[in-house]
Amino acid sequence: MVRANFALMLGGACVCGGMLIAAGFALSGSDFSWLAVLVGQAGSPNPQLLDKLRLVPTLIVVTGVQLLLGGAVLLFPCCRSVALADRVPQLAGLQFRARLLLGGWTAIAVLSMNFGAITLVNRLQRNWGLSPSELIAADFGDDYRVVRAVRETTPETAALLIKTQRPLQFLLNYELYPRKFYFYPERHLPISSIPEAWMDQHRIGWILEISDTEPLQFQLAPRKASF
Amino acid sequence: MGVLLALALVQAVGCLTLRALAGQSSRLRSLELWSLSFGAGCGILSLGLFYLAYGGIALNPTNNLLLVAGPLGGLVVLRIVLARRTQTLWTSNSDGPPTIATLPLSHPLSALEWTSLSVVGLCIVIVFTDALSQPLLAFDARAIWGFKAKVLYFEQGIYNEAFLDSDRLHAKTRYPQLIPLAEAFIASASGGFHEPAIKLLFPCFYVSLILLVGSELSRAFDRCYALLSMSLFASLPVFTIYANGGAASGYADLPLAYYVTALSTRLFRWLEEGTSCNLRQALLFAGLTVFTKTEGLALVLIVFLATALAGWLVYGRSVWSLWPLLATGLGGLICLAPWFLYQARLPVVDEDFVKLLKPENLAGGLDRLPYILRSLVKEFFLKPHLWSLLGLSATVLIWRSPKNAIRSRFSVLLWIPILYVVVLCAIFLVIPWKLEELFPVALTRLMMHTSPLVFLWICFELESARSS
Repeated sequence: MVRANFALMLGGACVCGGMLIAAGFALSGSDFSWLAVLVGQAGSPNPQLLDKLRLVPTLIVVTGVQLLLGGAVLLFPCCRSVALADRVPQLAGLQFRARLLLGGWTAIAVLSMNFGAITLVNRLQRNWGLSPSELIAADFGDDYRVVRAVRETTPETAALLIKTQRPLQFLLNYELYPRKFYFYPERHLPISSIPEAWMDQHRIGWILEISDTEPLQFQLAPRKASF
Repeated sequence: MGVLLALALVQAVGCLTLRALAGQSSRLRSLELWSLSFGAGCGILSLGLFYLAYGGIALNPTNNLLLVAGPLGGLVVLRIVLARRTQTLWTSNSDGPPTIATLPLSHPLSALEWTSLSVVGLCIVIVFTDALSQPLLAFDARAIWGFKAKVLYFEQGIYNEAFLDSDRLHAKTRYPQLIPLAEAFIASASGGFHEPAIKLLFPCFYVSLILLVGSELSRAFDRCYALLSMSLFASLPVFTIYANGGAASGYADLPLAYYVTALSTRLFRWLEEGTSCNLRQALLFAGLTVFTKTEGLALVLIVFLATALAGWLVYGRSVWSLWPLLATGLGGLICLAPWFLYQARLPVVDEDFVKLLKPENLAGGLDRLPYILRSLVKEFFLKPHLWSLLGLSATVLIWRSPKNAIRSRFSVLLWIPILYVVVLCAIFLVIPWKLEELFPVALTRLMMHTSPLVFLWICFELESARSS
């Protein structure tokens, strides 16, 4: 009876494994923007998430192979030997619903660990040989133009007036430290209307204006030349 | 090498402090000690650095070293004295000294136990490799915590315009400083502001949290059940693969989850056993919870309220017998008095949620409630790629026996997350931002804070149901 159960599980594992491998190959190269909408936090696809989701077919194939291998290594010997089948730990006493939950937890755990490992290997391969600053530049993408311009134009002791609503301002603040970024409290005021006394008080030497709308445009100018 | 030394120092300070807090009469199991030491050490050092900075002492490497060496030396001496006194006590009682109980390893591990341990190990390897393989890239990790850490490390103090000038660009100026101070300490000890070294803090918190959950489970259940549950907890995708808040990201949500779990389990243990050493540890973790993130204050109030209610309604204690809880909570907050005084001097750039929580604002925000509830349902049930079956399992257990969920011995572990969700809902009713942009992104990280408690409650209830 025990061996028959294991034979049934082995059959199930083989069928599921085979189906997963076939599905993985079939899905390779597909557009996963629908999945990005489902799993994304903001409910819309973003390039980084789409980049990760391209690995889903690999994840499905790897999981299918694991299922087949797991079946062959763990279940097949149990089908052949009563002694081995008896030694396999039984979660006795667990009711059907609890077993079902445990099975679900295990399946998701396997998938998430596989996904974690696959994305990590993929990233390590892609980033091989890149320095930390190159990785940061790649992460900024097109916005890195601003970082480069400020870094190459202004001294480290510079105090800059920044005018933008983009969250990018906080990343610049971190990346370009020890340069000091200031914002005028009335954020919507045009730069030309900002009092000179306030500028002098903060020793503003540079003005960085970044567009709030796409595409990103910016202007970096020394204070006196601009005003 | 420097960073390993710094992490070892953190562990040593935590370990010795916890042993000192445990006193003579109490036994601290080694797994429990390991799980609590890193978080305690990290928090104590950060708090110590803050006290130094508050006193106007520069946070340079020499002062940092003195800060570690002083208490470390004192704790070692205290440990020796306590050990001698305890030895004398045991000799006079003609009992042997208590051994530190470990996971019972007297019989070999079964295949299932080996598999569970392998899963935990694999998750830890994935998280550490992920953290070390790239610099800080997640938004909050750089914009909030990393920036503060850079200011603390390079300017060696807290009285500078980066913190105090309201016109200086600074995200979340009034956020507590445990994480940035810990990052600055690691940078100081490792000889430079190297991001991968700093990122190591967060996987260490992840390992500590896994051990803490494992320690609580191994105390109550057999080894197989404890290890299996621990592996399921370790493999929760929200910790391992979530880019903006996971264990390798550099966000403060995992450390906060760790401190809340440590605090709640100490108080749960106090309800069960009534020993005062649990309250001393709770006092420490209450302070550290508040010092980690703004949500910490709300969480501490909720944890103490839920514990008091459980003590009264479930454990049948009189209201007067619960006074040590009040003293512990107040003690934790009093330890942070310098922080509160300093925080009051910081410019208010963002919204003050507490001031917004008025009856008229709550009533005005009621039209947001359907969206909030929909988002919560989606978060709990339709995101298995983050939460696995955590929400579903909790719901099944509540559905199976609602009375048990409310009145069982373990119910306090469920009350805390429920009360926290209620408070979060109230805050999001009054928050003056566009909810659709903020809520879905923030919700996962907010849920992370109490998810270990939900997991522990599920394990306790399942085992209780199985044995009954």
